[in-house]
Amino acid sequence: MANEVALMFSGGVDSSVAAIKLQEQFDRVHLLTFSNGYGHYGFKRTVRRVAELEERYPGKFVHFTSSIKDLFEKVCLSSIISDYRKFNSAFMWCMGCKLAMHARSIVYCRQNGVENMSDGSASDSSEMVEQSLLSVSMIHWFYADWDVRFFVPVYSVERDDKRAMLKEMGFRMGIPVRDRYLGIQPSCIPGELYYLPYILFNKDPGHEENTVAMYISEKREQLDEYIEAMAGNNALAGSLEV
Amino acid sequence: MAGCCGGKDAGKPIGYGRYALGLAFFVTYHGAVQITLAAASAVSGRFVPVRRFHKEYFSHLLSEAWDRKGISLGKQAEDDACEVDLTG
Repeated sequence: MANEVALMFSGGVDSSVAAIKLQEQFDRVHLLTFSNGYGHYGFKRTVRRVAELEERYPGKFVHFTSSIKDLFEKVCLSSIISDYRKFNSAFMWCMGCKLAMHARSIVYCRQNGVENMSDGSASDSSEMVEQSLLSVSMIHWFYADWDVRFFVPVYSVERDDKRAMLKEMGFRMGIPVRDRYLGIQPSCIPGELYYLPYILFNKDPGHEENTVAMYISEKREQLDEYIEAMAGNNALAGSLEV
Repeated sequence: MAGCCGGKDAGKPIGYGRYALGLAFFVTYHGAVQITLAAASAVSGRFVPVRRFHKEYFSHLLSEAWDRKGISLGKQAEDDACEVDLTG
């Protein structure tokens, strides 16, 4: 089996540093970018970041883009109001979107014989529901159930260190606003709305671990059905080149 | 902080000026989204549940922000940092 890894990639600081680290360890890195079709825009920024990476590390990257709109609608939007009332939080928009992305990533890995998967989750972004330690752990086991190894290469790397690394290498850094850089990765209006009280008022986003765990568990059946329909339930499919 | 960590700044105090500006931005942004979703719902049915969800969510958030629920206004926070346990 080829020494390859897939990475959920937006072009932001975390996933860019993850891509750089992964290309040191693997022969090829598959960069996966997804759109859910609802207020998710600015994907040219990701394409520009991929070009920057390819310029520095020729032949190391494959970029794959795909819509997850149908799956997102099925997993998240079809029950958004009842889920919102049930869990008393709107985290399910972001979590449902991320779960759909991970399910699509599993399909990609299995269809292309990629055994390793990663993303740019970081401990200093743990206010984001999908990057909390609990979510990352549950996502790890989701992949494991489908024979794909999931790991988070920059989880413990400090944000300032990641920025310094990118700056030093001459990557575009975007516009600094508070402790973030804007304009280097796609934007998501619903995601911004969900974290707006945190950004404006330092208000806890309000997703509790037990409800997040319950939500992920409840969605697993739909996600597994999707993966099985798309990629089959056999072992890794082999070596379909992109 | 109950449950999972709400982020390194969660619970930290903010001033009255930031609160007022934040509230104005909050209402403007959500209001613009609500109007956009109303227009989009008239064109495509797929936006109807999104509009309903947003309306309910916006109302709830606005009442919380107005009541300053979970917002430390001009007070010192009990914890300045929120540690993440990487050892599990």
